[in-house]
Amino acid sequence: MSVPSPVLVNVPAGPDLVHIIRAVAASIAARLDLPIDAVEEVRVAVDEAASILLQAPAPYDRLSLTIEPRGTEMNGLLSIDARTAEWPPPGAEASWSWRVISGVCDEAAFERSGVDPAIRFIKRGPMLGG
Amino acid sequence: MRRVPDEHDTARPEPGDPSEILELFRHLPDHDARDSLAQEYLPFAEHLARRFAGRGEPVDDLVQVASVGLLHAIDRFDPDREVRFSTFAAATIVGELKRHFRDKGWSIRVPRDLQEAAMRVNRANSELWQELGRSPTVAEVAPRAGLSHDEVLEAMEALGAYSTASLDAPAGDDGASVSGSVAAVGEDVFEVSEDWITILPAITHLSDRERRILYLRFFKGLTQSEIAVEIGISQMHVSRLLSQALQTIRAKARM
Repeated sequence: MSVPSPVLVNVPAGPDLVHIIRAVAASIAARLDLPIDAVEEVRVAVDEAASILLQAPAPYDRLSLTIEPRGTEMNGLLSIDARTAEWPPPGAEASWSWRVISGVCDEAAFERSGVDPAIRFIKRGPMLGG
Repeated sequence: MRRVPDEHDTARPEPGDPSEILELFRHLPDHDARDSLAQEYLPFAEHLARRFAGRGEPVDDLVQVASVGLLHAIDRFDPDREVRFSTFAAATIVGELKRHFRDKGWSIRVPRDLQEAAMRVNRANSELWQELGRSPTVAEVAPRAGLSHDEVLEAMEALGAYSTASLDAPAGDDGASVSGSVAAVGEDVFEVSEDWITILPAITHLSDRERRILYLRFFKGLTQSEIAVEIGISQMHVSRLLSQALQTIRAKARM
């Protein structure tokens, strides 16, 4: 199943609406034929990434998820429109959330989306067909 | 929209004189000091409990749950940390209330057809796992469960959100003996790990099995399927326990 790319979702930044981007990410991961455990871990990665981003200094308004599927690879970039010079924030790379994200994803990195602080996560499906 | 109450929602003057409160904490585990603190903060706990009213649970029960959360908070609070007790207590009490809803949630909030779908997904997933020797995809599970792609996703979301935690948790493992279980984590169940320290306050709220799964996944790097084999439960079950444990940690660790 192929997914046209990129997919872009914007929600008002806050913990209440993280479930929307989480559901979109899981839905796309499922359509990329990622195994169910990988789909579940994409949800986990989105939750944890959102929780790091939402700790950025206010003000901010929007949480944005861009997904660019490539083959069976789920490549997501979650960002927040906060203005912070320090990214990643001090201690973030040693945080439990970051350990979880890097644990469940094949690749994860602190990045910027334009000027917005962002977290990149990549989850690949196993090679099936054997 | 439902929001989890946060500190701003609960903004009210901290009960009592802060220095008196701290003084009481320094007298713990003295029973009188503990009682005084509990009485001082009971209205605060009730206030938080009422924010969860109107969701199908009697307010009295919620106040009861919040009071238990308050006592946990009193016992666990470290006055030397740079966090106000009210902040710490709010997080603990709200965590306890959320846990209460999570444990009850399956029967209250998930529509029957979604429960049915979730069971079918679970069964199909286990069967396919056996047959394929790997975690199946949603596209594989859907026809086996007799559901659409979207219905499978919905059911998975429901499974994650409304876990049957109370059925999974070993008897007596309700986090009551916090210090004992922390010691067990350090000495018996797992190797001592510096990393564990960063989440230590939060992991006391997890069952032994959840802790073991977290450890195997994030400190040993096992996949969910490998953990399933190691513990002898289904991968779906591992997935559910894992997301439940992470939710608990998030709720407890961020104040």
